[in-house]
Amino acid sequence: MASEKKVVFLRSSDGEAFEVSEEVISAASVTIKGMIDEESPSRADTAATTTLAIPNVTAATLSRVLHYVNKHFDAAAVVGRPDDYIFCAPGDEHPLARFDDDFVDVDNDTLIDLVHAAEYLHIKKLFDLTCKAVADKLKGRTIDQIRETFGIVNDYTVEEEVEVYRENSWAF
Amino acid sequence: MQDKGAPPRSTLSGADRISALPDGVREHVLSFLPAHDAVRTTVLARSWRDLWMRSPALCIVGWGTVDKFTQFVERLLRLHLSANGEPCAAPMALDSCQFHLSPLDFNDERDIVANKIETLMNDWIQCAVCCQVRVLQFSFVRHGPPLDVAFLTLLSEHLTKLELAGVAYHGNVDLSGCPALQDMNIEDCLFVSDEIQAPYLKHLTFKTCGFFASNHTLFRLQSLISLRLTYCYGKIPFLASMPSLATAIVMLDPTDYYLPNNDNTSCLLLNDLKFAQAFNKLKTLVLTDWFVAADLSALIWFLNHSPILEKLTLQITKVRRFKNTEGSNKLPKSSVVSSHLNMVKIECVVVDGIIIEILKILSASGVPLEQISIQQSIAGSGCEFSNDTCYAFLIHDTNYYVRNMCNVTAEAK
Repeated sequence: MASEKKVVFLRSSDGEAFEVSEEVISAASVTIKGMIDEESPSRADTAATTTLAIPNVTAATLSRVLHYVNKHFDAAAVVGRPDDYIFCAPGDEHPLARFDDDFVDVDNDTLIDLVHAAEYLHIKKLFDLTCKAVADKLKGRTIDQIRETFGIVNDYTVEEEVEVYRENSWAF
Repeated sequence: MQDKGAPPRSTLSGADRISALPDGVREHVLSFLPAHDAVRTTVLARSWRDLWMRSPALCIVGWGTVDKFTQFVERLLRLHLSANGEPCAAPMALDSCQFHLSPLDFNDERDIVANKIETLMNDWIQCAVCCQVRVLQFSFVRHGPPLDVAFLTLLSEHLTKLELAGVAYHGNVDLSGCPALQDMNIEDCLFVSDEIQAPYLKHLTFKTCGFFASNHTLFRLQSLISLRLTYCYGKIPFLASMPSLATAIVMLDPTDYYLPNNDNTSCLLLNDLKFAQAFNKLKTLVLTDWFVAADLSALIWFLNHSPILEKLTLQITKVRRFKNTEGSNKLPKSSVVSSHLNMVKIECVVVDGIIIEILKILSASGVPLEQISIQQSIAGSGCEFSNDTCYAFLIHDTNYYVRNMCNVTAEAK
């Protein structure tokens, strides 16, 4: 009906509301698209804007997620550069590669929050990006280093640990 | 905020939040790790035990001695295979299996590594195929000859994408047993193959590959939509009919390294003009020196087989003696030249007999002379292309090549 750009508000778990283009967030998040589709019959003839509660995501994380979403899913940025590999010049990196690298260059807690949010909101690209960033923090580290970095408590008994090392000695 | 000088622990809360992630999420994380790192996480804590086994992707990277590594790979693949083989369990297919191997990742001499991997890799690949792998990559960073492989006659209902680098293959490539295989990406490989057959393939890239069969390798790719053949050497392959082909980038001259971004490209190439169908989607065409090598029949042929051609550029960089072959330069009576053709640009060193002849042909084809621009350039300056050009070559014979250029921003001056 309306030709103007529709927006929705997302309310974080700690009560802060964020404005985002309905089109952009629908393209990005399967979860929010589902919520909007559910809402739309009731608001078709009202001018009221929709506010959606995002109970699992804090304001700090939600604002980061929306920053990512606006970079990656804004039609203006997406149209005209399909992911079709065949026309990418050799050595050409994705124009947002640098943005992505900076985006996940955060402390572990923030990164894990982003993983949770990406999973809950069902944003596949962000989920892959953040999971890969977690993997990069595990890569090439010793077991002790990983436990140290992520605060993982070794809850194996001494006997169990000997056993599990023995069982997996083929990978060490 | 973090204390200065604290150990590199960036978990502010100190809580173990990574282990609290759902199993599915952690499995996804592990799929991005090299396989040996992924397996090792099993000893972190109880909640990590055997988690890696449910990860749908394997990324196998070299480590340790090659003997240790090969035992590792065999154990890894066997575990995946047996998990799949259990009759009661739902088959857990591998989404992807990647081998990224470089002799430098091992503690052994390069030759020892190469020999050992060469003898075992075919079994590994077959094993991955048995795990219903969908995306299969095998790359070997070679510092000597490529690895000889024997697995390019695959049978798999599940394989959708195949990527190879650093291998050599002797014999015919037959991928007709892979009905789901749509994408293939081959880099730095050698083929001694009379034929490469992949009837279901839609997208194919060959980059810096050599073809060394006694005859030209015949590509039989009936379903192909896009083809990219760049920096290849040896005997240029022959391309059998590809009725669905929409885009092709073929660069065979190693001195031409430039390949810009371009979508909306439509050019078509075939190995023998006489058998070629019409270039139904070709809008922009660039013909270089080759088209004046014998007579102008190639130009005439293109004019008659490009029904929506809009821009035509002819580049003649050498002064040559033109054989006046009046008879052969006549347009066929039934000729239909594109009514969209509205810009013709001729770039030449000097305006000589051949240019006059070209103008006669264009004029006879119904192209108004005011739409034709002629630019004289300095000999030897070579050809330069602006950023939004995209071009392709075709070796027709050893002496011939076609250069198709799409979406040229030709400015008539």
